[in-house]
Amino acid sequence: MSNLLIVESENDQYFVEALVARLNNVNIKIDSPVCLINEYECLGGISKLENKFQALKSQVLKEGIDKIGVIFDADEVGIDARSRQIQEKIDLVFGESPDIEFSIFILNVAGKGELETLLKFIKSEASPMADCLEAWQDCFSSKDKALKQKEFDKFWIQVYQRYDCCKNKEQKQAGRKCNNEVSLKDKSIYDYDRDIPELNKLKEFLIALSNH
Amino acid sequence: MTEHFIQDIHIKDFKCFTDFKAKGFARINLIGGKNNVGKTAFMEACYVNLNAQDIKGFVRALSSMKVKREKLNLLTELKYNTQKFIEPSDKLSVQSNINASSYNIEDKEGIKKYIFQFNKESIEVNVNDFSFEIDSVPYIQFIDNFGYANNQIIKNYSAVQKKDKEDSLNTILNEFDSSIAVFKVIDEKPQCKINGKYLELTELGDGVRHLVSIVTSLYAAENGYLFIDEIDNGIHYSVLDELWKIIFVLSKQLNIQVFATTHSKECIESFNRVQLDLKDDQSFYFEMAKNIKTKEIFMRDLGNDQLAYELTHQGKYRGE
Repeated sequence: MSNLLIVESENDQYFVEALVARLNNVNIKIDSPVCLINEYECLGGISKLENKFQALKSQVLKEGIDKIGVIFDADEVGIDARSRQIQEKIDLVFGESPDIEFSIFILNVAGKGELETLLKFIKSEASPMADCLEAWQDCFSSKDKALKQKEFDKFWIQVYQRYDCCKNKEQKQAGRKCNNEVSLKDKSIYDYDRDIPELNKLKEFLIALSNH
Repeated sequence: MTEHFIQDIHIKDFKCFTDFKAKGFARINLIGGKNNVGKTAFMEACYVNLNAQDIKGFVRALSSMKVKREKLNLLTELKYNTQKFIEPSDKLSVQSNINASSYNIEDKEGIKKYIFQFNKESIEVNVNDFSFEIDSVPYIQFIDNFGYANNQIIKNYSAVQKKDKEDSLNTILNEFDSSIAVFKVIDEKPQCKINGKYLELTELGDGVRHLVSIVTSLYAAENGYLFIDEIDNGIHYSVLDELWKIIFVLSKQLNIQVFATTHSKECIESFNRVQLDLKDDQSFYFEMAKNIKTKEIFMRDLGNDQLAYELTHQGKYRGE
């Protein structure tokens, strides 16, 4: 029996790898992300999911994959709508009775949001620099400019990782020492053990996929 | 105009295929996959099926594909035995939208017969009476990974001459390699004029031979088919786009269905760049692989956009 996990972006991959490392006997293969990190057109990921599933059609046969897990952001559309969108793509590519089992998990905080919303929620270090972005956002709004919550959360995480959690010495090599992979996997700046349903359900999902 | 193109095929009991079906072939079909998955065997099956228009073509195709594979082992033999080369293909069956062909050896009560079926005909030949001319079909070309030998290049060059396309051929060769000014057959030897001096093709690199083989074959295969095994063999990656452009343009002009194989990611990327650049929707990449559970071979077609996605998003993608 073999499983494969599909994630939306590289950051999702690092995040899941960090979680899996904390779980006992969980063995999951994470496939290359649906979107490239700098792929502007792939914002939301769902637009490229059909391409990803098409690519998986032969990978499933070549590697003998029995179960595929899909982790995507809830974004503003919410858990149910996002799950439906993903299921529609599965039906489109694999038919309504595929030979493999699919399971879907939608990252969220209180039903909406994305990975960064969850990360902001479980950050474990002081965040004075990133918190001041709230004031910056107010200033931004007063000039009739709008920034989506999704964009704001991404920005917040970057400032948190880069300026709140990166030591002066590390900042000289920020590309290596303060990048997303290192921040999500190697540093203890997020509380992956926090007892919240959003995180607990995700861990249960990963364990179930692994125990398949 | 494209009625002669192979669209679907069903291969049984041939080399690595027990019961293999594939469909959706376009004007240009690039096939990738791991070693020994059956890429060349697939093209050989198509080649046999198309050549099986009469007994001469059928037998010639059956024996020639074995000869191509045995080429190195045959260097010491002056003549080869056709029967020896067709017998391993016993029980072959290839059905396509173009032709239904099969070949069986029957051995009853000590009487051995070859049974050829093609074009709704059936011909039985007693092994002891097997003696007739075999012939190739000029508009069905099969280039192996080394390119053509001189005699075949000369034969195909005559097609270029009959079409008055010598200048076009020279332009293509010059664009591909600016040091090549002219291609000619002199004293029954293919030669290229380089830096004012004619050099025999045998003195030039493998890439030039492969290129000359491909371009002259395209002219010879008008309204027919061209099969190219390991298309990028001997060709530097920096000129692959040029090679593909030549194939895309000439195959369209001359109404040729092209099948090619490769192991190279650069070659697949180049193919994808050119198909997107020329907006050619009559070209597909086919991935050939084995089902790890059933061990059966399968083929999957990727259109321009899907191939572009997989080349850029699958990380480890190498046409496997």
